[in-house]
Amino acid sequence: MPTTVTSTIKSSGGDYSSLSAWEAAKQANIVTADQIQVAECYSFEDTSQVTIDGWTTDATRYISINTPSAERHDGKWNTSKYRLVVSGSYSGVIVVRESYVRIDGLQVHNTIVEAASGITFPNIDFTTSSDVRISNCIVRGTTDTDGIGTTVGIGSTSNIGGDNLRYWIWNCIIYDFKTSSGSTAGNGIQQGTFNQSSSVENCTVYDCDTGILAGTSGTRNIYNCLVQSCATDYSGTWSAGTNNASEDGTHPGTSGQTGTATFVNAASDDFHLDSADTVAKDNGADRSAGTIAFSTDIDGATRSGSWDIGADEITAGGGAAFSGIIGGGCGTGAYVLGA
Amino acid sequence: MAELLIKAVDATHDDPEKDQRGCYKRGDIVVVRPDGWGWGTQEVIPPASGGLFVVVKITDVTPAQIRRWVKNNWSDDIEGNSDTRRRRVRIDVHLLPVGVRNTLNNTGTYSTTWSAIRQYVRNKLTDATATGAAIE
Repeated sequence: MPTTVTSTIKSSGGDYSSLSAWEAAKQANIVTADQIQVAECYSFEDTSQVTIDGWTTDATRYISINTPSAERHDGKWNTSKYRLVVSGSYSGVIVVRESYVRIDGLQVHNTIVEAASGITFPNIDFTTSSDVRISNCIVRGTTDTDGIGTTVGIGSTSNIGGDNLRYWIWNCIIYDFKTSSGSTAGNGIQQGTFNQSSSVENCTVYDCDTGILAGTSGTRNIYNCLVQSCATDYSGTWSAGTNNASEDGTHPGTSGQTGTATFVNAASDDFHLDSADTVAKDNGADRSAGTIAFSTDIDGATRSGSWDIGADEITAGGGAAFSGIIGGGCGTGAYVLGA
Repeated sequence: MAELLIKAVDATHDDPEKDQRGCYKRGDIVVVRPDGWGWGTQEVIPPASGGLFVVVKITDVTPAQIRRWVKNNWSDDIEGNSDTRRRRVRIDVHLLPVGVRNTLNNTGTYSTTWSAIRQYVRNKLTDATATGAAIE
């Protein structure tokens, strides 16, 4: 049974004063050490890009980066909670080069106006049983005015990125990945190619050039995603999926919805569903026994009955406090996607 | 004043490509912060006591000035990585005067000026040092 080693990331008084420094300190063979290395991020603006690389990990000895519930956003960008805000034409604010990583509850924003990507998987080989999970995150972009490179909210930064990568994205809100010049594009979520397996579930994507883009091979599943106000909501071909919503009718799979969703205040980047919404509300599929097997929304509210499409579930009188990392069904070895 | 968090100990990996691409090496600049930064408890343990970092304080320049110098003269980011190298800028700690090295090893911190330290600031890709152009 591995030992969980938890470090705190705080602006002062913590173990480390940046997530980048934590990663620099902890990179090691944690399989040999029989450890799960956990970074708990507390409320402050962290300004150093993070590349996760140089480790040895496996399915039970992995890297976990999260925010404790009291330090977590409330489903809308919150400047009083932990946020990773960088300005640099890196491959991403967080670049994941390890095969066993879990990122939960972060706010991420790249403010540079060229190739401003969020959480990305580069063009390297991952292990065939890799398990990367990104959940309950808010990922913001910036309009690319230089037209130099494709920007991605979450995903591979190219159609040849991340051979063998297996990853799961759920309950994330991604917005403002777009370009204003050149032939490049901003994609909210980019599911790549090269033997990748991925499932994207209950994500909300808003105001991107392409909301969710699927590559040309590998297994790409998509459920309960809500894409709005994009030049093209969905593009590509998926392996399986249901209950996705779009404004332009491009959503994949069956049991989808076409229409304009009603958010609490999209102009102020509040993508909670308004109780009067008719597009996403109650039109999702119950994914509690699905590929990822989760049952809460981005706020930690319990999803029950008829699920809503997107990252937020409308609840009466507010939801339960977020209680920890969700997930169970993302196993290793022989693995069957879909439900 | 700028404070540089510098890796004091090599990390290693059995895969040589991953070792070079992903692992921090002694002298690599991890982050650059303004003076008075609230370093974490694990960041200020001296190497002699098992710490993994040292903090070099450059008293007469700001973080913005250092970042600008690296960007303007090396077209680079002082906290940046390349596709094949973890961090592109380091401090040649092994070349520092022995007294400075001892201070860093025993206390975890050292204060200096840009003119004194710049000859030890190295671009890992080109092997150039930060001599030459003035800092602005």
